[in-house]
Amino acid sequence: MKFLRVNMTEKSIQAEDVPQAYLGLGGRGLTSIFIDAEVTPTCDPLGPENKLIFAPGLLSGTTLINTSRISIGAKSPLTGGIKESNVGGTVSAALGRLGITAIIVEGKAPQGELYLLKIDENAEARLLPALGFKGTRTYALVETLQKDHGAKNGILCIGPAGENQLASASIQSTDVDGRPCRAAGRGGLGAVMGSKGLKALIVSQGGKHPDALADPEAFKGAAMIFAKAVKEHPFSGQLMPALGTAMLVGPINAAGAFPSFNATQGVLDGWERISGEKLAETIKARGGKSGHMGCSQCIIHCSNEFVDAQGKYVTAALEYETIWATGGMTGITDLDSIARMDFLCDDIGLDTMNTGVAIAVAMDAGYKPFGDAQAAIEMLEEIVKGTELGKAIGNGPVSVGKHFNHHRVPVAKNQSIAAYDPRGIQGMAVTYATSPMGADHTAGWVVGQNLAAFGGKLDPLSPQGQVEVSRAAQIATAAFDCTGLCQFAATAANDVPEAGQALLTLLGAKLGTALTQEDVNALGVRVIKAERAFNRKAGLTNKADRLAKFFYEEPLPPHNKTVLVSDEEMDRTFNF
Amino acid sequence: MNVKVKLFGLLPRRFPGYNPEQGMEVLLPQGARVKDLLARLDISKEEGGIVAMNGLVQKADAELRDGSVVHVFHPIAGG
Ligand code: SF4
Repeated sequence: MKFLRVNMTEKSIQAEDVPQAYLGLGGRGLTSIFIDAEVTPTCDPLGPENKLIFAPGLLSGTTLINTSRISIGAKSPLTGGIKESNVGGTVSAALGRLGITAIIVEGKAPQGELYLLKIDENAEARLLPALGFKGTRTYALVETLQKDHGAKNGILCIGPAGENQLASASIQSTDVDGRPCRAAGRGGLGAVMGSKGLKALIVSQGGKHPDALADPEAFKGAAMIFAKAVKEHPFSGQLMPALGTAMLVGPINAAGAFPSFNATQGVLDGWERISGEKLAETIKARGGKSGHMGCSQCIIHCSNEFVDAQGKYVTAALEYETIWATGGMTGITDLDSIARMDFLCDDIGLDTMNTGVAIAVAMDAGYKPFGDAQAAIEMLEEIVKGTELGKAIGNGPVSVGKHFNHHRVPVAKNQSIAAYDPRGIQGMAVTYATSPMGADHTAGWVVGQNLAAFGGKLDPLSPQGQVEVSRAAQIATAAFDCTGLCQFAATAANDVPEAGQALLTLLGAKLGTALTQEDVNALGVRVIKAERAFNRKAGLTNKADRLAKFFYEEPLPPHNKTVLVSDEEMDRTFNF
Repeated sequence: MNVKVKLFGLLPRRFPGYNPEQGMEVLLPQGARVKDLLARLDISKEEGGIVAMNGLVQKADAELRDGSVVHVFHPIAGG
């Protein structure tokens, strides 16, 4: 239980006991409550006053399955508000096993300097000069770092986009194969890391001193029940390994809610060519991998490894949201081009969503035709070259809209929406508009409830009841994001009562207090309150809880609806 | 009445000879609902949770229309 405080101005590192105020927190709860308490809300996100905090989930580092999420927080250079972006891979479990509750990066290295932060198996941390890695892309970087420091390290790093402090810059994480293919993509946290002068975190996976559990026996029993439920649930046990997240391409198109051609169509003509079914079939025929393990201790295996027609590696963890942003929004219905763009985004260190949407806005503005894969790939390379257009694309859809003076920019709080059009699933309008994170599908995913044939009366095209489901989903997610568990394990916890109870037992056995569902909900509320408090002080009031104007004015075919949730209803979302 | 059913995800492998391009024709009594179609195909709600008719998602109680194209998907979760 300790904080590592790394001061980049002084190049000093201090270990301290976790302050009282943060005891019992992990993941998003810790990053958000910390940012609200310690970061000046009006500060320059790329200046020395901002702080970048890395916090493994509460259950990371334990023996529980799928506890590999790490939350990264700071003030966002994209939204101007608070940001938590979480990612899987191997670092979260590694830090947990080292007994490290959070790493806090403060200050700012002098212009031109670049460092690595290395944490060894005894939790000793050192800053190492990294000037030789200036401009290095992430795949080449991690290959060298693994040669120099050993493959038994988890790595979080930035690419050229982060070094250039672009607002779509991601922090990339290595997967279990040591590839930097997983991203804490949202909100430009890579730019914050770049502004500090930190190129990578190298964390030993050899730690043997996780925090003690308050009740190891109870933990063990509950962990077994939870794992069994995840394995036996059809979604996490069969569907995810077979099709991965790309399984969503079909149903979302069938619902007319797949934003295509820069959100001017709700069905992508030819979506079958980029569906989860097609992806799995292509990967199988070429000898790639589906049902691939991406993160430490995962038993779901939603990931994949995409290979070209010759069987050569192209990219890994090709996900639904990426297929949508680089394929649906740009009208590129060719998996090979999409996989190439996914690789380039990972390699340059970019959020695939914000970047795919930025390219789509440029196409919509007439810069290049929709469907032109070559042009899309060239735009990605422009980002590295640092041209005017490259900077606009790398800073996201709003900056591209300004560059071309184009009005149709699908964002909330400057962050691109995800692969569900808010006009086709009105509940997502509420989540996108009101989430303190900006448009973020993971913050309150109400797609399932809207589209399900059984159980529930929600009509995806009506605003009725959407505020309530979004509120409940946002609270539940804010609490779940504290645990370190992958969201794909949540389905079992929601559907199987014993698994839900097991999760309460696990948290209680870790923290040493009996927890009820109400306690967990109260945690979710506390986290969102802290996030909204920070945003308010940063100048993001309820007026910022709105979608881009065109969503209210331009109907989306085929259902020809606009966003129908009124401003007053949006403002009712957080009635606490 | 007749509806054309298209299956997705792991559902097609339940029906030997299913042609993904064409889907399959299913004969149902007049007034049949979405849940009746699923029952006829022996697809449980754990397996088939999202049903769209002619491009619009439907609830289990919705009435089917003759000559419709019906897409059946697995339930979805996550984010
Ligand atoms: S299900 Fe996917 S995202 Fe979740 S832990 Fe496993 S590989 Fe990672």
